[in-house]
This record gives sequence, structure tokens and C-alpha cells, in this order.
Amino acid sequence: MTGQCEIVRRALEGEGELAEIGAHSKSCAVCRAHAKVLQLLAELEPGAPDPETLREIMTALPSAPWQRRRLATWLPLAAGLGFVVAGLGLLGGMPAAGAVALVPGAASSVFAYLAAWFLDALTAVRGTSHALEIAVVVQGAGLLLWLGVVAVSSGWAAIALARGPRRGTRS
Amino acid sequence: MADDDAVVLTRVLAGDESAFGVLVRRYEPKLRAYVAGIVGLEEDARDVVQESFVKAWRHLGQYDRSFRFSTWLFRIAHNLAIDHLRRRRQTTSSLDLGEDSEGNEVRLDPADARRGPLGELANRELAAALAREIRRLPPAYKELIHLRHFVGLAYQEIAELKGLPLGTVKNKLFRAHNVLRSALGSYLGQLGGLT
Repeated sequence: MTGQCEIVRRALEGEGELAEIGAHSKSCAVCRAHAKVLQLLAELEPGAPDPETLREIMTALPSAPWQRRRLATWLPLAAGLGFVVAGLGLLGGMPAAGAVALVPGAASSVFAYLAAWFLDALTAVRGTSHALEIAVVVQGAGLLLWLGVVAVSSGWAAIALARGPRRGTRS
Repeated sequence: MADDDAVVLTRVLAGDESAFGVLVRRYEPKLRAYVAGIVGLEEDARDVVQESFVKAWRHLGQYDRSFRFSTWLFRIAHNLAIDHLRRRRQTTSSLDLGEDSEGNEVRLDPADARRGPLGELANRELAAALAREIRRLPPAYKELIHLRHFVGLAYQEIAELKGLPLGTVKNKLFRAHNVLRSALGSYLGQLGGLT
């Protein structure tokens, strides 16, 4: 075996490229035989899997365990529960004398202020001025609005809990 | 291939479970050939391969991406195949190289007994000779030939799976091919004036 033969045979095995492979192989029976052995062996590689086997494997897979603790699953739930707790505090169901107990009331006032400001601007445009009355009424509406937020958030949490881990499609 | 696997895995972990089918389609035949080389029986190999994919699926969240997915998957399959063998208390050869003197039935690929890859070769006499010469190879060469040509692994995948340097894998396979070429010289000569 010449040095050129070894280079050609290694090139045949995928170790580098050699433009002279064809020309050399024409004149070297041993390198042609080497190429033939590689060709025969290459024909032995496994083919495509049959669809039935694939289907069996895919249907045998359990639910994806790594998705059970995804933030996307637990964040809505945690947020919803947070609103529920706050709502309970607002309704007096939670005996909290600290700053936390003031949060729902403060939020209600903020809602009321914003709504009053909007309606005040609206009535000013229309040429009447009942902003003070509206503010008093809307203060109560702010409380209702807050309770609505709590209800929606609770529903959101319940849905997130019922859906369980996020699931994708599986063929 | 490794990059493709990484892309597919990202999709799977993002919630697209159907993308895992791409990996199953890509590795099932190779894995089955590999496992069949260990457990010997086709049906057992199918079971072990399915178990391997399920185990990989369960632990996908802990997969270390610094390794190739194929290497990780083949290690899982290897361990399960060994466990399976222990349970069955059955010894098998790494290759089923059965052949008769007439060259009528040659099975080199235990993963697909129906197909019998060597049976598909145009020259059955050459197929029988190839089976015989592979069987005669030193164990280290025979295993690499099995991984490279019957399982269909790339050089790099073999190196990682066996914990060998890439150059060692290439050199051993090169020498194994040389041995096979020398041994099959007369048969190859009949196929188009090679000698």
C-alpha cells in the first residue's frame, strides 16, 4: 500500500476530501475494493421505522413531568389566590389590623377616583357639573369593581387549577 | 444532527410534545439495532426501545445539554438492555451472525429479522462471506463495525458512547475495513474486476 493509497482510503471513509479519488481508484484495484467494502457496509444501516412502532411509542408516553411546575401554570393561580385573600380582607373576613388590611380599601379609592375623574370630565364636556355627587356614588362603585376583580381572578385561578399542567399536541 | 436535536428538544420542552416524534422517528431504528445487538431478540429489543424513549421522556427536564441527546439516549437504552438481560438471565452474542454453508440464510441485523440486510445484497455469496469475516474480527473491531454500520452511528457518536477518542474510533474502523477488504478480496474481484 502506497502513501497515496492510505490517503485515498481515508478520504473514502470520510476523513477529508481528495479530488484524485476517482483517478486513483481507476488504476488501483485495492482501493476500488476498499470502496466496495464501504459501499456494502453502508447498505446495512437501519432504514426508516415503521409507523405502527412510532405510534405505539408516542402513545406510551405519560404526561410531561417537566411541565408540571411551570411558572405559566402556577403564576395565574398564585395571583388569583392573592386577590382572593385580599378580597376576604376587604369583606372583613380576614382579621388584619396592619397595612395589608388597608390595601383593598385603598385600591377601591383609587378606582373610584379614576372613575370620578373620567365621569367629571365627561359631564363637563356635556355642560353640567355633578362631579361631587358622582364621586360619592362611584366610591361605592369602586368597591363593586374591586369585588369584580376578585371574582374574575378567582375564576382565573380555578380554571388554571382545573387545566392542570400545560399540555401540547401529540400525534 | 446534534444541532437539530437541540432545536427539537427546545420545542418539546416548550410544550410541543409532538416534536418528540421527530426524535423517535430519527433514533428508533438505530436504537433498536443497538439494543437487539445486546438482548438478541427482536421483540425484546422493541420493548426495551419503547421503555428507553419513555424513560428519556420522563427525565427530559434533567437532560444535560452539554452531551449529545443521542449519546444520552443510547446510554439509557444500554442500561435498560443490560437490566433486561439480567432479568432474563440470558446470554447473547453481540451480533447474530448466523449463516449456513449454502449461504441461504444470513442474519446480521438482529433488529430487522424480516429484512435481513445482508440478504438484500445483490451477491448473496458475498453477503455470507461478509458476515463470516465480520464474525472473525477481533471483538473491539466487531463492536465498532456493529455500531457504525448496523446501528448507523456517526464516528463522533460512537466515540462519545464508548468513551473513546474520535481518532481512535476512526483508526480502528479504518483497520477493520482493511481487514474486511483483504479477507473479501476474491469475492470483491468477482464483482467487476477489482483485482
